[in-house]
Amino acid sequence: MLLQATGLGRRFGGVVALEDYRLALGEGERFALIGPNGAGKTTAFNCLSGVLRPSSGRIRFLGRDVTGWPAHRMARLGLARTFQHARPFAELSVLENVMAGLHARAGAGLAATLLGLPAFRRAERRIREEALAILELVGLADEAGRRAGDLPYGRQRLVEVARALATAPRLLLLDEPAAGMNPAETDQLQRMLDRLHRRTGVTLMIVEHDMRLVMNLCSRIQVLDRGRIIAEGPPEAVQNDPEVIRAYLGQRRRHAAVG
Amino acid sequence: MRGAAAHLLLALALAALVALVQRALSPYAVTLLSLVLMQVALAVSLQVTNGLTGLFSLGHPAFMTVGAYVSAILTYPVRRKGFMMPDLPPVLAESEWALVPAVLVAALAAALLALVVGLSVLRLKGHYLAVATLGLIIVVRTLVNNLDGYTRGGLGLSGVPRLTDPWTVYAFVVLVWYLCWRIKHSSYGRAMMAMRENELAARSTGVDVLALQLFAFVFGAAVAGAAGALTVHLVSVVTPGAYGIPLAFTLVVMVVIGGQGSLTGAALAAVLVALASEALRPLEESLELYGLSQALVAVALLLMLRFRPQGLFGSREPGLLVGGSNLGGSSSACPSPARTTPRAVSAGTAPSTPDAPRS
Ligand SMILES: Nc1ncnc2c1ncn2[C@@H]1O[C@H](COP(=O)(O)OP(=O)(O)O)[C@@H](O)[C@H]1O
Ligand SMILES: [Mg+2]
Repeated sequence: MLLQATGLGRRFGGVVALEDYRLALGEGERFALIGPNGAGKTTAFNCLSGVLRPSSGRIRFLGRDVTGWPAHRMARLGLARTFQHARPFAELSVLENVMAGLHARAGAGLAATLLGLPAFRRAERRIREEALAILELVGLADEAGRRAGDLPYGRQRLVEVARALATAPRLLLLDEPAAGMNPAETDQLQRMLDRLHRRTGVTLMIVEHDMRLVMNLCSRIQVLDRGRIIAEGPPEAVQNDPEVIRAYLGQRRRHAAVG
Repeated sequence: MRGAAAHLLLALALAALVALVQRALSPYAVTLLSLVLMQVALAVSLQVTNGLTGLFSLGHPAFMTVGAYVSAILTYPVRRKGFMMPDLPPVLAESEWALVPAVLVAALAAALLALVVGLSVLRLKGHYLAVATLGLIIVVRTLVNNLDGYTRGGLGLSGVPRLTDPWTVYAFVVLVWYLCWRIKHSSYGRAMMAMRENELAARSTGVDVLALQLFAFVFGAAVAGAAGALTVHLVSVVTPGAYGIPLAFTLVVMVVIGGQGSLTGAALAAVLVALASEALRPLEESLELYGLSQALVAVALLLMLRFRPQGLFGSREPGLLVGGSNLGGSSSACPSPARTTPRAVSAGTAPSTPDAPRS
């Protein structure tokens, strides 16, 4: 078991954003978390990635109890994430965004850096090469030298994926990666995630409203509504679950029909 | 390696300037040059503390004061120590240190103070550091004023040995520039700029934000402490209020005018501001309009924020100094003009989104 969460809860003042959340992810799985807006999906990601301290519950990751660990330690241990709203390092180039993601893992020590020792130059070369390879993988190689803040929104989302990959994650959490992408970009994203999964075997967990992407990519789905899990299982089962249709999918279909 | 050659050339040119000024011009010009170079070192180091990280420290003058007094006390002539500093413990009262160890201890003292302040303040959020370092300037001044058995209080310490010459200052500036350049153009520099751009995203890529902020703050303090020490051995006096809030303001302005994160920009701005203030001094005195140069610095800041909010250089360095690498956005040269936002003004006001934990 790669990651195991039990009894996770998080409240904000009086609001219970997440309650009795549990999750068991096996190595190499492709998992989706879906549900209506405000269901607590992002809160679940925040708790798992150490961005928020859960109010209750426990998290085990890679055989360790990581409950309450801060985000940077989770990232170093192998859990990376992207954000629902793009958070690029806007002033840095696309390449530097990814290189920044390699700092914790591959950066030279302070003494070697200040003295400009060979170890420093080796580390910098490795960081640059790995970053370029990651850009190649996600299809951003042509934009390596551009200022990240100048990219169109859809491309910025990709920069975040690339930056997360730079930490060499075992588990990658993607919060609505296709939001702000046009259909062509979404297709590209799906192919890229497929390729990534095949090549590295990284475990994927995504929050996404684009059901086509979810159904195509993931083999297991969990549905959240008002902070609680209402269904979990393979795509076909979840799609036909009356509770899920009532709480989320039906509503989306109606919207789709109207819009 | 083109970049390294350009740096070497720059260092040689500066050496030539120092030699020329020393040969051909008055002692006044020599001192002026030294003081301008000192401002360059201060502004460039503040660029690491504030410009790269997005912190807002005003603490440089406090650390300079600490450095100046520590070094002055350590190097003071033994035969006059008993009279000037009666409270000194015997170990210090009977020893007269050389310049280099004294400056190192001065830098260390400033760094330790920064470590204590940083550990207690940087855990808190946002703009507490500005307030805390502003307070620190006042606390240090009050302490120096009251510890008159060590510092002669409000009278200030005069007759401090003149152990610094323009070449010491030159070596110091070159060293500070070298260290800051190394930091900026390394993995550390990228991580610092990353946390400046988006702290939460930086944390989530494994950046230990608190540790890096502490490092940047302590590093700047050490440079300021050494600068204070070297200056006291240049001008031979120091008073409790010698380095105060106006200097903190001027240094921050240099960072903004230079462009947040640009070492070259800060250095250039430091030269411009220092020379302009010096040029205005006779005018100030004849018109009895003291503070005129401060006011003009403020006007320069306002004009800059209005017409070129990203500063002279944005976050970048001139291509010549950067050399080979051309894939950089901010840390290296870029053909496109800077398009930064006025970060110094909007610092830390990123819109809160569902990802941003508020509690
Ligand atoms: N930092 C926060 N402070 C206060 N309330 C929050 C915070 N983050 C989320 N919430 C609340 O928690 C609930 C779940 O939000 P969220 O996890 O963002 O849902 P989702 O990602 O499924 O749309 C919502 O009611 C939201 O308003
Ligand atoms: Mg969300």
